[in-house]
Amino acid sequence: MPTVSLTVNGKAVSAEVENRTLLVQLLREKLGLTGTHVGCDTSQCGACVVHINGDAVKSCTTLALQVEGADVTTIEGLATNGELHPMQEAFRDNHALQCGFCTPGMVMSAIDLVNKNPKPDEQTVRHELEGNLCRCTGYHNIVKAIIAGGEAMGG
Amino acid sequence: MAENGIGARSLRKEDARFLRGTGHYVDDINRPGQAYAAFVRSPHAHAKINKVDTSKAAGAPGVLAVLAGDDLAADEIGGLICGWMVTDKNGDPMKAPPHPALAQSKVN
Repeated sequence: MPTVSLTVNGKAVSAEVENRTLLVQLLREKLGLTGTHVGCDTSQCGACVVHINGDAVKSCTTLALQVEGADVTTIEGLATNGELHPMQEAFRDNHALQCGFCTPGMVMSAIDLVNKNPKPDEQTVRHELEGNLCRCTGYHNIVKAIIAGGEAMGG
Repeated sequence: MAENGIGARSLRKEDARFLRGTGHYVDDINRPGQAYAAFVRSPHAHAKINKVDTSKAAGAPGVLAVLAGDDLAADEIGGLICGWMVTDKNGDPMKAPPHPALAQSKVN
């Protein structure tokens, strides 16, 4: 089996994977990072979004071998020294989650959104969130949280 | 809005773990020697079962067991229970149809 080497949440890791192994399987099954979720397995729900070299990507639609040498960040890698990332904080303050299943993907997408589009307006946030599905909250508070999180990130 | 008591805002205790990716959903559980189940559903909404041939599946590498409705019947595993049994005016139990966990002789 081929070996893939990459950086995950700042740590160098390498693992043997099959050619068909998906990035999300590498993260969850080989590296034990179960914060990244598989909601639909068909690229629709966005619960599996991680950052690859800073870009939000659906890890259920990325082969592990494609991320050779890449810098991957998952939801587990956002908090620093136990302090929540401003976007995580904004989700908590705005009650932007209920069951929490979609939350890791929402937060990862939101951070990339704000990085590329500082101070997004509501319409932009709603449009950019089309690839992330939530079955609990109805998006309203998620949108509020992302706007607040964007401000807190200094965007 | 009240500052405390009824109507006051309260932060949820579970959010911290969900936001950090340390929630524990069923798919996150991984125990030593863990096995996995896959369910095969009937392609027909309502049909009589003539035969279920499990031989190829049972012969596939790594397969621990293949179970069909007849196996549950042979093991005397009863059907799914009704969670709220009521009685009629005479105190007789309600009539509940059999509801096997795996289809037996017929797909309903």
